[in-house]
Amino acid sequence: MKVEMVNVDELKISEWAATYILRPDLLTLAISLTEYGFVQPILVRKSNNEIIDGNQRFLLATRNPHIKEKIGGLIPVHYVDCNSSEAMMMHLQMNRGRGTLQVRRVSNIIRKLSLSRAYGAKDFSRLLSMKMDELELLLDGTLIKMRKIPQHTYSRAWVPIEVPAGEEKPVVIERPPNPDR
Amino acid sequence: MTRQRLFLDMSCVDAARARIRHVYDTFDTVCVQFSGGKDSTAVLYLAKEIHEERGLGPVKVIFRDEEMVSPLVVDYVMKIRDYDWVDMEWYCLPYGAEVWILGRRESAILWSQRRKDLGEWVRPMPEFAINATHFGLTHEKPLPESVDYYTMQGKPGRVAFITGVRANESMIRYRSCVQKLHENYIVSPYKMKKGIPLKFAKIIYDWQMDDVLKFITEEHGAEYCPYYDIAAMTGSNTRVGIPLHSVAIRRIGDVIATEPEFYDRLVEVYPRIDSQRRMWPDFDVEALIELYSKDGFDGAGKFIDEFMLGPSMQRRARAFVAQFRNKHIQDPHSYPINWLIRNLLLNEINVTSASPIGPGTKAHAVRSTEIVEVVLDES
Repeated sequence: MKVEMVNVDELKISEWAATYILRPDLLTLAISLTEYGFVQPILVRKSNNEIIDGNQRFLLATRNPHIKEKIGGLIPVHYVDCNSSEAMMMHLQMNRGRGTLQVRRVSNIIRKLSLSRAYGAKDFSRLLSMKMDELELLLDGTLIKMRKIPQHTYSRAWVPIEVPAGEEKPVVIERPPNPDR
Repeated sequence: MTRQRLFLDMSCVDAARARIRHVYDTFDTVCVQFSGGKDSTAVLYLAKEIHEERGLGPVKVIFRDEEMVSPLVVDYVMKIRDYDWVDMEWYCLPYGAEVWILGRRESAILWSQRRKDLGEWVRPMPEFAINATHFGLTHEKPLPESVDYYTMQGKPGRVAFITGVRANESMIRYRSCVQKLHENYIVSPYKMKKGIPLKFAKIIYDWQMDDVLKFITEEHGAEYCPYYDIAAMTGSNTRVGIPLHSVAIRRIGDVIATEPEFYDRLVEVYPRIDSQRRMWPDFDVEALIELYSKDGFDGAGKFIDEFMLGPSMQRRARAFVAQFRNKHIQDPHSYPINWLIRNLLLNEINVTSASPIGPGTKAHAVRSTEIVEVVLDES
C-alpha cells in the first residue's frame, strides 16, 4: 500500500460523509492521536481529495492544536482512484464493518490493568473517558455489589385483599435498568 | 371492590418457606419449573431446603429448552443439572415461537425437523433431552397440546410446578397473582384442559429482585446465572428467554452487548434480524400506526396482509381483530383503532385480547369529557 504524507489543508470532508462520533469517544480518539499520532493512513479519493475514511481523525488533526503540532500538519494518506459512487460505497463498507468491544473481555482487561498498578482511576478517565461508575462496574463485575445486596433487608410478605374502589394504592413495577423506547 | 396488597408482619422469604411447605403437603408430585433465570434459581434452593428438611431426596426439576437460549444460560442449566441433589428432566419439544422484525411477524417452530434439515437449529439438541418422539410424536409439526401437558406426563397424582413468577415484574404478572384471594399463588395453567391435575405454584410472587439475589448468594452461598452480571455491566435486560419475540427483539442490542457470538448465530439463522439492529432506532412506530389507523378496520386487514407472515400468524391476528371489533363497538373510546394497530404491531397477540387503554391517555380524556358533557346536557 502506497502511503503519502499530505498537508491537512489539501484535504476536505465530503458532503455525503455519514459518520458521527460521540463526544466521549472523540475525546478518547483525541488522546490516542496526541500520544501515538496517526498509526494508519486515511483513505482519500484521488481525483478531488475528498476523504473516504478517516473523517474524525482529519477533523481532530485540523482543529486540535496539540494533535496538529504532534503531526506537523501532515497526515498519512492512501489515495484511491475511484468514482463518486465507489467512494460512497467504500465509506459505508468501512464504517459498517467495524467491531464492537465485548464487555466481558473489556472487564478482564480493565481488571488486569488495574491489578498491574500501571493505570489508576485518573488514567482510565483521561485515556478512555471512563468515569468512576463504569470503572467500578467493570472492576467488580457483579450485580451484587451494584445493587448493594448485603445492605438489603428482605421485603415484607403480602397477600391480596379486597378493598372498596378508590382506596387502592399504586403498585410499583420493576423496570429494566435502561427503559424501552 | 378492588384488589390491594395487605403487608404481613413477616419477611417474604419466611412466607415463601411456609407456602412451599403447604404445596408439598397438599400435592402428590412437586417439580421446580426451572428456566435458568435468577427467580427460578431461588425457587430451586427453596425446594432444596424442604427436601433436606424432610429427607425427600433429589429435587425434581423441569427445564423447557427453547433452543434459541443464551449460551450462558444453557451452560448454567447444565451445571445445575449435574448437582447430585437435582433430578432434572430436560425437554426439547417442538412448539411455535414468534420472530418479529421491524413490525413483521412470522412463526418458527422450535426444534422442528424442517429447520434442522435446513441447518437452522440455533444449537444442537442435547443427546439426553426428552423430545417429541418420547411421546409418540414427531418434530415435523408443533405439539397438539400445551407444553405443560407433556412435561407433567408420568408424574403421579396431583402435580404442582413451582415457578419463579414475581408480581412486580409486570402488571400482567401482578394481576395473575391477585386474581384469587385464597391460595392466590396456586393457579391453573393458562388454557390447560380441565381435569388435568396440574397447578402452578408461584411461591415467591411477593419477592423483589434484591430479595432473590440476597437469598441465593447469602443464604445458600450459591451462584446465579452469570448472564446477570454481564447484563448489569452493559445495562441490559435482566430477563432470560428467546430474544426474538415482539417485545424482546426491540432490545436486540442487549444480545450484542452481552453475547455477540450468540447474536451472530441468530443472524446466521435469521439474517433479517440484522435489519432490526440497524434500523430499529430510526423506525417510526407512530407514523406506521397512523398510516394504517386512518382506514379503520380495513386498515387493520391491510396491516395483517402486509405484516403477518404465514397463515397461522394471519389467522391469529384476525381472531384478535374480531375480538377487538366487538369491544370497539361497545366502547370506541377505550378501544380505538390506533390502539388495535398498536397492539398488532407491538404487543403479544396470542395470549390475551387487548385491554382497554387506561387513564392518562388521550382517549381517556375524550371519554371523560363526553361523560361531563352528557351530565351537563341532562342538567
